[in-house]
Amino acid sequence: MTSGIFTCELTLQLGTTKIQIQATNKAGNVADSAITVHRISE
Amino acid sequence: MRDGKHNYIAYGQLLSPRSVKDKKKKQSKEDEEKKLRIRPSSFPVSGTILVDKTPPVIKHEVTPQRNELGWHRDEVSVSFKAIDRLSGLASTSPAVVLNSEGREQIVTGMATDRAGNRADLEVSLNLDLHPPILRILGPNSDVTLNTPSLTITGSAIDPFLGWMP
Repeated sequence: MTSGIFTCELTLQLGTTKIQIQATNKAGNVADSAITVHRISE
Repeated sequence: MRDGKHNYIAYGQLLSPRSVKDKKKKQSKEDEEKKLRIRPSSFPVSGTILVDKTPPVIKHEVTPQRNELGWHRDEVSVSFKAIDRLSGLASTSPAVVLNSEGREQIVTGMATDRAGNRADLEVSLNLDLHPPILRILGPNSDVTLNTPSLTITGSAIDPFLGWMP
């Protein structure tokens, strides 16, 4: 089994952003996961 | 004797079944020795003996082909083809379908020729039918932020493999 924790740093623009993350194993099987975030002005 | 065709000439003598039976009764050691000698008056017999001590050459074909990292993600079929230039093929293993997941699974094929020589071939296969398990741990979806910087944390698990480089 291979496992890992990852982090991703992003800079958001104002409004709504959909962020999609993808993992692919050596066989070429792909997994997707996504979240939506909203940025409002300070 | 080496592989290939070998011609021979021998001398034989025809005996009726009765005379053979009679002779067996009287046969002494001396008679047996005489029988084995080549007699100029007997008739020649010639023929060809085919000698094959070499096993067949066996090859395999995997469908679909593995990817550049040596893995399959769909059911795999392994077929075997063999050739034998001397006595000819007697048998070749049928195709094998692999649909169980795992690393370095061995599929074995075999071919025999008419002389009884045997060739074996092992094929190692890596098969993973499923995607990894990917989770975003934070932040939650639909969160509202008032700063431009965002750090996403997640986890990924794959039961068999490592990750695509």
